Amino acid sequence: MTGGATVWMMGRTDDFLNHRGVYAKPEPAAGEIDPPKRSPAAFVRAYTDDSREGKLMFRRACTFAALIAIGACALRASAQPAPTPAATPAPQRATATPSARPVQPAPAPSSTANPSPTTRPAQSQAAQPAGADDAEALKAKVIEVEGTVEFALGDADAFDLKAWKPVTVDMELAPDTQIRTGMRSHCTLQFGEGPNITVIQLRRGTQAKILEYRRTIDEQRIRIGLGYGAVRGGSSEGTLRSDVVVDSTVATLAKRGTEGWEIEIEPVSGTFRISLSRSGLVEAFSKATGESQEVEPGEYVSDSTIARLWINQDIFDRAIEFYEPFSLTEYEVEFMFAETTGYSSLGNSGHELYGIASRRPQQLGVPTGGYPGVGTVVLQPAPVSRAEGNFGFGQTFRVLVGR
Amino acid sequence: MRSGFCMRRARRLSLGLVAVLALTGCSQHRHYTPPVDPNQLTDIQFVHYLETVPVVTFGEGCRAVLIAADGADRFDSFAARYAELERRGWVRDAWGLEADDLLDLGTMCFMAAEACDLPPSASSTVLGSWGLSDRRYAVRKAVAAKLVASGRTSCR
Repeated sequence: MTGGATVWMMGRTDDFLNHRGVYAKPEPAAGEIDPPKRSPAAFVRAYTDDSREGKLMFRRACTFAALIAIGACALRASAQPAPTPAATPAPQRATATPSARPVQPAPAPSSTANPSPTTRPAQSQAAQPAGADDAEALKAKVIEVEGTVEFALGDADAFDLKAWKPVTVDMELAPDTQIRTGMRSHCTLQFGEGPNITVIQLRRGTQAKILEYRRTIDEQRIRIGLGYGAVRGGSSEGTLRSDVVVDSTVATLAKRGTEGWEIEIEPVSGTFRISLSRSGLVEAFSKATGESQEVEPGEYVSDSTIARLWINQDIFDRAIEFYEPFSLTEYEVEFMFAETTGYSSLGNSGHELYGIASRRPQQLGVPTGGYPGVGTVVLQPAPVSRAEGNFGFGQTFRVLVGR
Repeated sequence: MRSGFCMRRARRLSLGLVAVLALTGCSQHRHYTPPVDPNQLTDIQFVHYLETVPVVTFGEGCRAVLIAADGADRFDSFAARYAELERRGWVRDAWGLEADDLLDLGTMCFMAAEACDLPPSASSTVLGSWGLSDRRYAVRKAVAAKLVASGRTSCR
């Protein structure tokens, strides 16, 4: 087994344990006491690390706080004199529920000088940006360090023990700096300030290098060289267009105003995986085959799917797993419900789902659509009755409403 | 008559070739000398050292799994790591592996699958518990859990 494949498996094992919510606890040796339980601060850290456990705890805490707020409002309403019909207490409950949700950061304001930054294509590496001569060389700031992270200047050898030094928070790293992370470790770099922030996180078992970081009058240009491992990031574009390219010997990722991209490579076998989770558009290039693919939110390409992205993901990425409902967002629950239970109907376009219709919605705990005596759920637009029957699928709107 | 003579001659030649290969050429040890002694490296240096080696030994694989599963390697020798892995049930004595043996995909997958506590299939529960194809089942589990890049043969 090659060293690269071994490190790839180590990284995936690390991810698996992390996403499951609990790292495998180090088994105590003979005579050793069990390690102490994780503190609340550790849960907060885990939440920032996209840990499932952290998210779960965060949501439970939010739910608990929401229940307390609703209860307090109900007590307060019952203590007050009976309201007139025109002033029902319903708005109190309506205002309490949104406060339980985590506050999402406000999007960065769009620039008037740059009317459509996300639609501009990423430039190739050889191409020089306009005004490159006036570019200002900058340094990246380390905003988060977890575990063991080291840096070295220039082309320091991996075994040159004196060249590698630990990375600490608030450290500024100039271009031509190598960074490497250990297992259960990551390092987050911030490029830019104010509304023009690009955040790049080097994940576990990664070696990367800041090749270039410059700012021109209308652009922030970042080039990361990825030796192996995984890098993820996002940009909030304000007054400057953010031009980010992550280059490696296997594949190249060029972003076009995105948030939540990730590239993971294993150079020995040529394995790579480029994904986009939230918004924007990412362009992936395979250096082995010369093929490129645009990756939209919710998609990924790998070395085996870059030439036929749509069919592979349709076949292999069917959602057949079951999750704990309280660990999912409402959109995830809706998606899982629609995709795994067969209660949905496929639209004529092949993509659109016509609502959700359940045979026994009360048993499933699904909210009803307001049809007295029927108690079914009908979303917009309503399901369409099929002439050929509804074999194995949810019953149609007409049957459900008893017409 | 002549074709029978040729057949006998070819058979003897192939048997001799097999005997020579069995005695000399089928060694499963690594013929690569790393530039540094991996036992002297810290955990982070060891992870990045693995990226530089063409093939990994079983001893290095044991350390790699412990780092991936526990976050750190608390042992200073192969014997201690092996004893710990055997105690956890992540390696089996029946394999007869030694530190310098090459690490194969099945062994690494078995250790990783046990580290991740992947749910066993019926076949692996019945047959794998006896040691029959336990590492082959582990590869299938690891591929299903996406611990291994599916369809890649170069990592074997």
